[in-house]
Amino acid sequence: MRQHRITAATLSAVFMGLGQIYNRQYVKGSAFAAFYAFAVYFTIANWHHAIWGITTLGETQQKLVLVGKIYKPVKGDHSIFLMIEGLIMLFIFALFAYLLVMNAIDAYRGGKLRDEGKKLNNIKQTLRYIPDKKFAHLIITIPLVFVFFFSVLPIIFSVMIAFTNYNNTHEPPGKLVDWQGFRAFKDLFSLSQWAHTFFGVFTWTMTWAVLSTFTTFFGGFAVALLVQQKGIRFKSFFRAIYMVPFAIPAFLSLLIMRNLFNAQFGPINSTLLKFGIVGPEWLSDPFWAKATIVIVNLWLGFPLSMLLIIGILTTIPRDLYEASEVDGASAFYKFRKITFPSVMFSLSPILIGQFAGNINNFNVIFLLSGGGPTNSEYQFAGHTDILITWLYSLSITNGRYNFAAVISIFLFIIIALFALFSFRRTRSFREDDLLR
Amino acid sequence: MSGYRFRKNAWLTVSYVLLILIAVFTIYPALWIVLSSFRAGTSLFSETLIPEKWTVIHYKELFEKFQFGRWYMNSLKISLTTMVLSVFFQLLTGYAFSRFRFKSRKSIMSGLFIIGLFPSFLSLTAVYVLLLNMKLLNTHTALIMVSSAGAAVGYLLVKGYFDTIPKSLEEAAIIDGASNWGVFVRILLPLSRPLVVYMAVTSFAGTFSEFIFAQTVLRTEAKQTLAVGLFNMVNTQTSTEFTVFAAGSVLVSIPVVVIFIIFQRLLVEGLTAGADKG
Amino acid sequence: MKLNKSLAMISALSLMAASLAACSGNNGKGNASPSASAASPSASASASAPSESASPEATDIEPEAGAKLVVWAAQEQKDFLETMGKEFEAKYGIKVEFQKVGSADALNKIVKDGPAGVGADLFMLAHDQLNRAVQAGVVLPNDFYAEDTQANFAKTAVDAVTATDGILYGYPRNIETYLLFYNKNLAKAEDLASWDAIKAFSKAYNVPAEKKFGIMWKLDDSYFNYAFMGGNGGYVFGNNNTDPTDIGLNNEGSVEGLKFMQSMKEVMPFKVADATPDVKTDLFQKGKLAIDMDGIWQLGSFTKEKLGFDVGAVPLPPMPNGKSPKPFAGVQAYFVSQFSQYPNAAKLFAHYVSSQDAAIKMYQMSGVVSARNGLDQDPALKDNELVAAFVEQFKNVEAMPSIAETASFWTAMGAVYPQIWDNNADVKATLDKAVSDMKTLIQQAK
Repeated sequence: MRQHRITAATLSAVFMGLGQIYNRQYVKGSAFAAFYAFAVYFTIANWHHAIWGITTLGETQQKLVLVGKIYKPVKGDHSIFLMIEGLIMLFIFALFAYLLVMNAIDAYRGGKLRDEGKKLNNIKQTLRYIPDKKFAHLIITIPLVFVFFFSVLPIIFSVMIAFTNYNNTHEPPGKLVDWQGFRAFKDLFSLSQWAHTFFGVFTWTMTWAVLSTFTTFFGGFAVALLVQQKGIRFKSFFRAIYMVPFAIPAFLSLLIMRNLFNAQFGPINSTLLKFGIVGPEWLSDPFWAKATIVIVNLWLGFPLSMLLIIGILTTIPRDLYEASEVDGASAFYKFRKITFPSVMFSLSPILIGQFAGNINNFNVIFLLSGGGPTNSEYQFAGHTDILITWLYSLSITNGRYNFAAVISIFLFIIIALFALFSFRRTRSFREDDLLR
Repeated sequence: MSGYRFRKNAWLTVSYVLLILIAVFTIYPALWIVLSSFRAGTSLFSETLIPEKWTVIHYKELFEKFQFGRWYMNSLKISLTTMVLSVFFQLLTGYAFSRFRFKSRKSIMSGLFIIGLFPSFLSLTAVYVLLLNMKLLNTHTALIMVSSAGAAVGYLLVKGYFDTIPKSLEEAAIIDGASNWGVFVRILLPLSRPLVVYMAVTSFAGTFSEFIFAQTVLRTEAKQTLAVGLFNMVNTQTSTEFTVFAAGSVLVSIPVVVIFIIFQRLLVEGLTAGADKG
Repeated sequence: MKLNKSLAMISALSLMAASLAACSGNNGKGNASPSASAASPSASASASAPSESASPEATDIEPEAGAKLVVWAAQEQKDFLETMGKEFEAKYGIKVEFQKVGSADALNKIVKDGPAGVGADLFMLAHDQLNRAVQAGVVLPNDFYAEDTQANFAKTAVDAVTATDGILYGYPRNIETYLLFYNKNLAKAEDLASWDAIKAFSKAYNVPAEKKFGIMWKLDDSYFNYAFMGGNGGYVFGNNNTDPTDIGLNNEGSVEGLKFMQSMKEVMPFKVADATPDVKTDLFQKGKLAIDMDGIWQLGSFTKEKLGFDVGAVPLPPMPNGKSPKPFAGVQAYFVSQFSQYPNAAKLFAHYVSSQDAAIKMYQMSGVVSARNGLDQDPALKDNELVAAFVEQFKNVEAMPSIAETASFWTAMGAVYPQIWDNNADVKATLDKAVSDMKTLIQQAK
């Protein structure tokens, strides 16, 4: 009696769709089989080149040959293209393998139903069954496939670069890139004199991430509460004004800000001077440069938080407030017991995301201060450099993509561990009592 | 009672003062951009806020020296399509994670969450080669696809939001025989208007001002987007187009501001009313 | 310049350029230099520079049938190149499409786009990127027209577009450098006769509260500051900027040069970070800044009709020790892509836009003066006082180093200026550290 499930699963594992046909699901089985034929053909046609490309990264170097007085280019292998194209193929093969396994499982389930003497769905029933019982799978498949190819694949590529000698002296198409194992990792850590810089930059990175996240969140929160309170008129007018920093492309605002904060020539200090105040050296003094960055970031970031929080405020049922008013609760009590928890419930994962995002907030620092003012005790870093801008000037400026990749990996591990740890503790993640 | 009223009025006055101060803080740099665009000369820097000589020449130059109108249409097309697709992807992913339980759900959630955190300047190369193999270089489709593709990574906000919507609303509908899709469209979507507005505005503004990726993918002038075109004005080392750039930026910012103002009323009305009815 | 370099390194990150847009530099905009006579001794006189003056080509290279070309250049060149393209099409039946990719971005773009088959056939690069371009295998040698180029263009320009492998690659367009522009209403030529005179003038003229300053330049940029080091016997790399093991940035001359620069602080009361090109240009245009050290690309903007006052220009005058600063020069040139499907047609067009007739048209249409020999004798140019000053300055310039290790120079030196200017750090110690940083960077790149 157990035979059907084993037979069906085995058949499907050998040739997709056979198990389904064996289970008398002819339409589904034939569709699977046709797909399988294509997949096998595709794999056979591409397997060799993909594996060769990704393991050797190319063997012939491009060169110029002199014919008479004319140089003729002779095309060589492009290591990076080979690597990425190989990777794309491997991803497609992995997708095929996954589908093959799922197909075998499906055949097994079908066989099991037969073993138990139940009837299997025909194609019409199947098509109706999926949107109902497999709805979640159905709707996240397409986004996930996109993410798989356009986000995961590039990340894996970046990681692979760390194990190569890809830098500006080994740059395709002119030169070949080779695998070199952990050499880039070793090189980076043998530079012990950089420890001081790393520690300093790391400390500021964390300080910056905390400051920027909190200022924009609480700034946005405060403004949201201020605007939304009862009795304030022209609400939409104020909200519209507060949205302005959000609407203007950030790189433009930052350019402008650089001018506004110019200590010697900028209008801010000129204005202050009219009131008899000598303004600080906004971008030249280490302390003020940091402060300026936080202030500008607050300007850029608070509209987002405000909009988000206003959105959440409107979802809080009014009767909650009404009930507590009946009990004579103070405004502060209502805020502490109702408003704040509701906002935090929805926003805590976003906050963590923003925190992690700020660790990597390249634009603001690079465009505003460029990492400066320079710190003579640091190696190639300034007072306001965070890890990612330091990593940029250290490696990308000097064209060493493999070093960049190594540092990306470490930065990623730090951020991901932290973010994941906090993320898994949020209610939004743990909340599992909503089962349908 | 009068003490209460006095305190209330005093607080309102303080609130207005604060609101106005914040408005000044907010609007000042923006005002600077606007006024720069009317300032004679080429330099973005100036000592005074109000231009000494007013001119609209920079706006004219936008259309005469550059294909500004074409860029504008390109940007609108790309941003609007991306907006629709990415909001759709985000909502669906968030809905799936909020309302369904399935195998490896948590792993996928965590995975998607951290994928967005990888810091790399190198991944662009991989995307470029992908597009090359798909023969999509120098097409708008490429931009739309790549910008929407990553959207699912932003599911968290939607999930968090849907979690706050009481399930009782849906149960009634399910008893009435609504499908999953029906619940999504008829119950959850109307309840999430502010969220949708937020995501749409973010996505639109993001794509509208994106130029790094657009620059690597698009090459012909006719295909260019606003952001790329504008950025190139100040990209060169010896740029002398700062004020034209400012004029362009004003025109770029306008649709985003307008869109927000249009959707603003939805934000306020939408949810509370909907929830009460439910 | 350091930032400029980084920019060139990765186009994906070109957003930073917004901040740097301001950086002055050798890239982007075109304006030109006569330069015929500019034979700088220390210019990268690399391997081969055949000195025999070959006769110009009698015949042209045979273009491929059905060829069409894509050319990358900066926006400012659009009108000129499109006009030339139309003439070229009428003559040879080859369509030429202009695409706006400035020389700062071209290399990063061609490295990607070339192999992908969507790159330009012909593009502009500044010469300091040539060796990287050769290493990356994206440029074809200037072979068919080599003798023609060598015979008709300034030696500085030809040497600069010849790579360290001794092969001529580029089709030079023009040479760029910087000097002192001044507002004739505010300063007289005598005020610029020497740096001591400039100091004295500035002392009398400066009113910081009203933003009136005697002289300014972009203080955080090695492109400008190097003039003081180079003029005193400092150098970047030994053996005409080709030997990365010999760095001359902390030798006596370099130290003396930067000490002099440091001494300018008494008349330049602002921080390095505040003296941005944007501020500087604005103050000059408003008639507040008297003397502006800036590049040849400003020729088009610094005219009486645009500014409302007469502008003069003088080459960098002698320092108190009698030596003159030696500014960097950059050569803008056309290069044929190794991935061009129509290399012959591309070479033909590169040659076509570099001809004598084209050079005159280029000056008329974009104000760029070609690096062709003898152009400074053209009456239209001879009478231009500013152009004449550049011709004079070109006699004492140094081509920027172009070996791959040069990136370390921009990076390491960028940290020096805020130190010695804002913090009054010891010049010798600061330069020693910069040089050791450079060595570390070069070592790591191996």
